[in-house]
Amino acid sequence: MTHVLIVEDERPLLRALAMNVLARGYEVTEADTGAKALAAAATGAHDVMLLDLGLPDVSGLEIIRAVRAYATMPIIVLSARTGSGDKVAALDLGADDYVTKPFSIDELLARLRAATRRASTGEADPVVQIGDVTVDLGAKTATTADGGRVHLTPTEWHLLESLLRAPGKLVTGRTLLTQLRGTPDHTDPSYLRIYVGQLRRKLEREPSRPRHLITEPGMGYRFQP
Amino acid sequence: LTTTRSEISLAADVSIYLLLVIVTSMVGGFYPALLAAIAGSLLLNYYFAPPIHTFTIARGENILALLTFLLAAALVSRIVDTSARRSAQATRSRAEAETLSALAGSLLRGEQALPALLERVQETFAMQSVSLLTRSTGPWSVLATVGTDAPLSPSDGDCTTEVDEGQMLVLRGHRLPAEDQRLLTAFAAQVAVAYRQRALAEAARAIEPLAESERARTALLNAVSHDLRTPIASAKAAVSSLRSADVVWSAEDRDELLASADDSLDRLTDLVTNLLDLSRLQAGVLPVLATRVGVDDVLARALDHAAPGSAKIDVDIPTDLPDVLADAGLLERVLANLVQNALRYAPDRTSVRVAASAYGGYVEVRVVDHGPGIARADADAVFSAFQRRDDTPAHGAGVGLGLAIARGFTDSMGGSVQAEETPGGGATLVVRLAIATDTPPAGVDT
Repeated sequence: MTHVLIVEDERPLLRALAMNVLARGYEVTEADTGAKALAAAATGAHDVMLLDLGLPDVSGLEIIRAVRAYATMPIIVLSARTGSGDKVAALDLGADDYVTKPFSIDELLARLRAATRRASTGEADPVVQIGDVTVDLGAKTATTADGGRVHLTPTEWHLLESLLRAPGKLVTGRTLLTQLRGTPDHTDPSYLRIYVGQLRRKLEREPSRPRHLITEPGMGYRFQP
Repeated sequence: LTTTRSEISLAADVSIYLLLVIVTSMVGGFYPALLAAIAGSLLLNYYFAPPIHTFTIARGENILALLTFLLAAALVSRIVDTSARRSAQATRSRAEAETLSALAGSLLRGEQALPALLERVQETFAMQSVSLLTRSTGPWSVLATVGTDAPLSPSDGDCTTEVDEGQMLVLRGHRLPAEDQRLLTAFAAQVAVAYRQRALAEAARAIEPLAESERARTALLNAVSHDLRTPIASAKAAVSSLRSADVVWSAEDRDELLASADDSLDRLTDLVTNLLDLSRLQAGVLPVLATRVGVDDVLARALDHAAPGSAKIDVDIPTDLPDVLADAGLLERVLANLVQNALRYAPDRTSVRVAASAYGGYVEVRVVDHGPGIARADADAVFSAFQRRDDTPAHGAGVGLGLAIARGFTDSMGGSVQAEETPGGGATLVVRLAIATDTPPAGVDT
């Protein structure tokens, strides 16, 4: 059974989250302070962590840094700030995803499912539907509904594959650049934007209002199945 | 020498003359020495080379001796002159180097480099005054100056050098010899650096208060954003849970979620009310209806709101306490805010005490906690809006509007709120209101 550690100092929110997660068949540990969170995380009993960044005793960022020193469990950050600064800092420290308060429970549960989904390595290459286009990652083909072929360049394939293999998950710009270029540093900040834009033009029904290849401004991209 | 010529040979005469020529070259330089050598050879010829007292020379060896004298004198004076020149140059270079290193040192020392530099220019070249002038368009203006009767434009000076684009170092006193021009150029370069340094320091100082208010603004926005989002997040989570189609909630779960949404919305309402009250206070449009009010009645309502069911409040109001002149609604908010604030900072097992007493025409209501207290220096600052005594949002803490509103409301009722130290540690907030008389005093809006 998947065991979720919920760290949130706001009691009513902590309770609502715990009730929801329990109702979906997860096990739950509640922590309303950073100290309790660190103690619980150190037991190693948890598969995923929901972490509020604004805790009264220990900064959420400190908790990510401490937990990442010994654990690889996915961390989903709950942030009450609109700016991307603290989220980027959290992702850089090793958080896997974030949701901004206020969020609907369904949104959070979707992120939770994506984070705990086992990595699909070794499985058959997935076939994914993006709008009207069927993408077969194994055969490296993209086919429209009427049987026409969509041609993708090797870089576009590479990028698309990185996103499709983590459905629903945030893939940071750093990760994508590392996979594409071997290094997270790139002199041209619009590099990824250009390639994602091309993918949208080729695959999305409405490239200007993408439904599947979603930009998370300042942080990265997400494939929404 | 003429008289002793019988005892001294021509060779000795020649060497004495040579000595004279060398001394001349050391004192006067090459050309006077050359002149002395020629004159010397003529005099030697006239006085000492036989036939004496004529410019003719009888013996060939004497001609050779005289010519050798002339040549040796010329060569020696040349060498002496060159070495004297080199030594003078070395002395000057050393002085230059000393000046330049002193300059560099004064630049490194920072702030007051520019006036110090100008003083050094003045001192080094023995000038009456030195100015650094600038112009973009139009007339020159003075950036810095030392000495008396300073030049106000390049034409006032005896010597000028360009420092930077549009800047000129102007010296008044005397014309500068060509060899000093090089040193002056070095000075100009240093002045340029010092000026840029000063301009940068000024720019940094000018930006400082802006950056400070920008930081405060960002912190405020973050605090308000956090405090608004937190209850909304709880309410949203509770309500969206209840709407979820894939879960059937038990009756207890549903009650808990509904209560959570309800509480969160109440807290949101409090916060928004506070924000609105604060803007009404700041806009000066707060209606005040001051009437005869019993403190105990108002406090009961305030406690219902601020600490529902809380056992931590210890109330001590004498039954014969006179009524005060206040707006019941505003006073309730004042007391509720003070109690909420006290509860927020009271350590878990200590209680908050509310006591009232009459004192010379006034009633004082004291809200006492045993929390961390308020530093004397902050005793007024805590009443500013958006002050929270810690950066991290403690559980249930607001953006820090409570005390600001308490003071604003009390002031508008003609009273006052002060922060004091609780004996034994903690903060005591004292509300002072006038005792109600039959006719309300003037100056209070009714």
